[in-house]
Amino acid sequence: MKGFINILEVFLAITIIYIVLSQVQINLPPKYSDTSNMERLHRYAHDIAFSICGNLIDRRMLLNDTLAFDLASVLPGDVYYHVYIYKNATVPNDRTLDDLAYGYGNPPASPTTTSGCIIAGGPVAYRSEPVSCDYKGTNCLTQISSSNSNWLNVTGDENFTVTFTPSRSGSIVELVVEAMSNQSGNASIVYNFSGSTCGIAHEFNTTEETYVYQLTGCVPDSSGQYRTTIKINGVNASYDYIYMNVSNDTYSPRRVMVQTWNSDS
Amino acid sequence: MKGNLDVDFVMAIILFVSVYGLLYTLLPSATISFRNMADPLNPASQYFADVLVATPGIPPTWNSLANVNKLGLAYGNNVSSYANIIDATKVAAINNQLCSSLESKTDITLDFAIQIETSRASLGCNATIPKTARLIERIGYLKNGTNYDPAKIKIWTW
Repeated sequence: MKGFINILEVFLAITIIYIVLSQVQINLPPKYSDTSNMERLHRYAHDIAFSICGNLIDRRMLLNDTLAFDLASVLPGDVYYHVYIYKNATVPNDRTLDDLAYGYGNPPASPTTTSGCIIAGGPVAYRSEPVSCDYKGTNCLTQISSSNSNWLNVTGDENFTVTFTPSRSGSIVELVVEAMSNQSGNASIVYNFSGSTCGIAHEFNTTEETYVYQLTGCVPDSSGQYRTTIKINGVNASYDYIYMNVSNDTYSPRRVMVQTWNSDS
Repeated sequence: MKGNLDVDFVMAIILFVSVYGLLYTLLPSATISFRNMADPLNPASQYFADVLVATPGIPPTWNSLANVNKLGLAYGNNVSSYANIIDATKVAAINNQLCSSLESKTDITLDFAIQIETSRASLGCNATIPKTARLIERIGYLKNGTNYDPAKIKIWTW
């Protein structure tokens, strides 16, 4: 009888301890990692897809860039992913790959989950070939000429007239002007695209900024050249450098699909 | 006595496991209901995380707490917004601010804390995060001019 009472006492003690610990656990809110694994993988696939879409749109990234790989640094160690770029964004079942799939790990035959986004509308993000040029107009398929050769150490108010000609017809021209000021202040750069309807004014109010201006819809002059005047208002600032990139790449809609899975088998 | 206690303990363990197993088998609905009730604030927390990561806020080009009506950290302009591309200007605006001062800029009633981590920096608003706070982790890019740094966005709610 004494032994049974001891058993009962210990049983009750264990039960009470279990109930208390269970209540503590129940009252703790689950972390993100506590959600179901499928939901978690889908969330990461969604984040990766939209991160890449937004990045592609804004940066006009090359598909073979290291863009997709660097996301691994902010993912949990047990999450792997692959990114696929499909050529035709408007046909739902078209899975023609635009470029090699890239990502992190070896995708299993049956991916755990997929998520995707479509880069569509203009401007869209696919650069068919690397085209860039610095302020001197070197390494550039499109020649840039400027009325002012002093691109460096610009101070005060100055005007630049820049002309350039797309090397391919039907392409979208992208003009990038990057300025860095060693002071913050009432500095601004004003663009005026002469002979076209796409003039724009943009103020630089930070110490370093890049402004991308797309000449979609702009009308070149009779010689086929685009012409722009850049006015720099450097009242309280001086610019360390200004340069231009002109790219004449072909952009078209693409679909980005992302697979995520847990174990890299 | 010591020997008796060990036997009692073993017997009690066996009894406990048996009873627990019996209850667990017979009453699965009880455990399921516990799980469903575990985090009633999770939907609002996930919604808030989505709003922060995927929307630019109102106005979309806000750059200081003085001119933001609704909080959102995604990069955007008057034409488009870019989900998961976090605007460094907006992050700078909330950096080192009291998280509680941002609550009026949201449409949720939760307390929260926000942190954006990159390989270069860790930025966010200040709050004392209770141990019971739930943590939601999202990923994206922190856009600062032409620099895009992979970023982990951590959002605590309680």
